[in-house]
Amino acid sequence: MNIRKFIQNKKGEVFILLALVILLYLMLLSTTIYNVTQIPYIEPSPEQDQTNNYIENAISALYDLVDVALNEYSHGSEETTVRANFIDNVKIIENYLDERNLVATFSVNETSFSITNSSMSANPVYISFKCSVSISIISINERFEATLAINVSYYVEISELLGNENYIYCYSIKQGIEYPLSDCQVTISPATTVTNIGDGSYMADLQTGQLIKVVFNNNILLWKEV
Amino acid sequence: MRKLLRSKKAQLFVIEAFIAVSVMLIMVIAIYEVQLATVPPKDQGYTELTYNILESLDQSGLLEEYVIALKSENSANIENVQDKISLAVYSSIPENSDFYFYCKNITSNEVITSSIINILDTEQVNIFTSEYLITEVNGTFDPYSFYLAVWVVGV
Repeated sequence: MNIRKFIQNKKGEVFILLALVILLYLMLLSTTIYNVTQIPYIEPSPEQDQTNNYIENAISALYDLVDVALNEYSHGSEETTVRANFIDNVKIIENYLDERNLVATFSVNETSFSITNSSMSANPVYISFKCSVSISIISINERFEATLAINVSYYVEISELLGNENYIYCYSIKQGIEYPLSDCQVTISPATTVTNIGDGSYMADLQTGQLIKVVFNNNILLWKEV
Repeated sequence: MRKLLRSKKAQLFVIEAFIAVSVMLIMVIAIYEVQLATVPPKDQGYTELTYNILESLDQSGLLEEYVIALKSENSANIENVQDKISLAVYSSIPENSDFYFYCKNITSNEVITSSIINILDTEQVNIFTSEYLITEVNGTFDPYSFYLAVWVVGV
């Protein structure tokens, strides 16, 4: 059949129109379906974002507990008590996540647990916490499994005694990264004026035999003999 | 009816009617498509923003300071920290946004009434929220959670 004749024919016109409409129909339908199904993968759903935030928050809360343990130990608690408290306190993070539909398990490896406080005469003096914690957090969208090797220490160090401008350095090392601590309370006995420089160093006229008491912002206590 | 359908005119009418309905449907789908392509996704990173605000409040020590102030029950202290938190949150969210904030004692599982900052605008459609847990206050085990809701006014 001649195409021109077919188009001029009423039936042919209707057929072509119909075919075009169906084609358009299919094209739009398929792109809509594609877009609708792909949206969750282009932009993560808010719930998925929250899971990552909860995981991140759980780890920061765990480091808070390390500071609690160091504080207890620096104030004279026994290692066994500190360890028992740490294991007990971790449960609060598990419960918090469980209440938010995240199945969480935090296993503290007791054999890897160590907490030490160096002698007063050493330079620097330090208090150190080491422990490995296995973390498992399961949500509808994600599964997070990790073993965190926690290594946190707080230090007090003094400069070489030269003249009357000596320095006390306060810093922490968390997971190998050093953080100068400028918000410590430094007191020296016999009483000596201490000037906070603001970069983690404290200036004072240090004399041999003096005793430096440093209270970090989370109440961790360290003593250093000059 | 059968007779009517047998007629050529009637058949054409039915086909034309089908085409007309189809064109309308196509238009509706096309409008939906355009909307899908132009309307920004619901979240726009606000959930992440609310969490980041809470995290930076923690890192600056304000959350801990707030708990200490709340425990002191001294209204001047509480207001002072509330002002600091408000300033920090307002400087982190878009200009046409507002927020709602409170602190919850995890041990007693109760919201501390005096910790509430602003009123939650429940009429807003898109409210983005985050929670943040702290387990230590002043070196002592003391768990509290903080709740922050942010919404863009008029969206």
